[in-house]
Amino acid sequence: MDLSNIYQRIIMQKASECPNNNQFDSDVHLTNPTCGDNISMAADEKNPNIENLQVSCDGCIICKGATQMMLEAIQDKSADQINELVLNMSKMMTHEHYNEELLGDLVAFKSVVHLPIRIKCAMLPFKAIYQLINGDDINR
Amino acid sequence: MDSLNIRHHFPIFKEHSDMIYFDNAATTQKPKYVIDAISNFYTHHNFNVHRSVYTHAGETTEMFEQSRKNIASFINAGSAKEIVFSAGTTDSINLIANGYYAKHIKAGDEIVVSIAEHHSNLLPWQKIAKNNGATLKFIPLNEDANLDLNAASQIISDKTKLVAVTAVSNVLGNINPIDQLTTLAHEHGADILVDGAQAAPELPIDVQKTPIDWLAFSGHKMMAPTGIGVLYGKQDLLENMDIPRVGGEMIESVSTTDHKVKDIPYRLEAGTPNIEGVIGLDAAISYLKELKMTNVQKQCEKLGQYLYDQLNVLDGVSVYGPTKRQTGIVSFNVDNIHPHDAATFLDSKNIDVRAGQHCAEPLTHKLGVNATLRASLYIYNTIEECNRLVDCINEMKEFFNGSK
Ligand SMILES: Cc1ncc(COP(=O)(O)O)c(C=O)c1O
Repeated sequence: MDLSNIYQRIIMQKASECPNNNQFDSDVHLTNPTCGDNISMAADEKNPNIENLQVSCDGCIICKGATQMMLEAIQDKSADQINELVLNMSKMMTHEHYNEELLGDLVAFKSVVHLPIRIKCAMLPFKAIYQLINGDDINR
Repeated sequence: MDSLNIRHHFPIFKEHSDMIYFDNAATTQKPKYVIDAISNFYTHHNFNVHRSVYTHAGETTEMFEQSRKNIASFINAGSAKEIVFSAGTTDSINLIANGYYAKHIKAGDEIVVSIAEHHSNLLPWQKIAKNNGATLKFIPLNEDANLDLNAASQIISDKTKLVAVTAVSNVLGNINPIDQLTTLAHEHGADILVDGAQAAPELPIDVQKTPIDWLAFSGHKMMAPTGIGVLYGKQDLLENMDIPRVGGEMIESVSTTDHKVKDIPYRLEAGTPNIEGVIGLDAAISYLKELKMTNVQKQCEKLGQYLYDQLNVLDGVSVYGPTKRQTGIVSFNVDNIHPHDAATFLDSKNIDVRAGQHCAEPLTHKLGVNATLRASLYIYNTIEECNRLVDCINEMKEFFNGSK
């Protein structure tokens, strides 16, 4: 196992920038029951405006890095585009064909596929944003 | 006890010669002796038990019942009748909760557990308390992270119907004062159930010397196969248990409309049992007896204390639980490194440790963290492996934090 593929510099850097100040009433709160990663999200108006998105994440580097990079990736995106992003991220994690261009920097998480138990860490923020926008779980 | 010598009994360590296996609280490796016993069973004695008149089946039945007797003697049960086979600790505790306490716990009664319970010994009682209008009370930990006996003597009262505690915490690794808790429970007319999942592999158990009412443990945590466990109950309690499942194997006679059930333990074991599991558990127990449980305990305590002492002096490492170690279980955290990342790093060095909440979420939160790392050592682990873990933790700090 090559650790530097999993813990790429960009992921480690972004993880350190990830917000963690659970000072708001969350609309969505998700946890990884096995490891205690958790994420909270709140938005004034849900769909399609998520401009006032508040996020707090406490967890491992993979989870925090994914959260921060997702936040950067969804800026100026519509709800549909965000759903598309979530779908492609999920496909990358399940060895399906995905749109690399659309994922941009998030492709850094590709190696996580080799650590099945950590996929949940990378997907947690994407599941949360999907729930926030659509009101239900991503059905995959 | 010589760990290096013991390692040779375990084929998996030949297969994975570089592996450091420190997740024994999750499951233990199996010695060749146990693997051979199971293989021998399928090669020579694979017949169903308790049903057929032919000699072969009779012999298998005899092996099966002899195993029950050996397991009874391992925990010094008064009679083999008090040994009911289950699928494991979780299964045993659920059988006891649903079969006995569901009908014996009334509104206003209290069930007492400790804050350090595994979910297996918490959720069944949460459910009964909720369904029956009873209250679930928690014994806290004292400053040394041991179970607070003073608090226990306040909490356990005449309202208490059951005290359900683990003998060894699967996170903190401490041994709970089961003797005193048993006396306390009985003084108030309450029963005591002991979760022996982590104790059975490491400590001598004597259910007559410490007259607990119920004991649950799992084969796979003591070198036996998965899917086999033990429910020990005092005879009069087992006799008052509702029958969990009906069907073959557990009946005296059946008419078209009714049936008469056998005595305990058979009536609590409907269907073809896990014969291979019982044979394997019996073999694991004779292997342990050969090593002597007092030696096993000493070895685990020695390794646990050594690892604790090594970790405790490392900068930026917090070790949880008492300073005086009694078992091979050591939970810790490294500053600024999430346990999940740490476990992945250690995995890359071929060290298997557990990261997470270890099915004891209330305790993890009590420690003020979301998760911990846990190294759980067993008889075949070595001081060299502990040293290697320490070296890798230093490397890990450099990798994630850029400092030692
Ligand atoms: C203290 C304790 N109780 C109960 C269990 C559950 O055992 P099993 O999964 O074998 O039923 C475990 C195992 O993780 C444990 O450590």
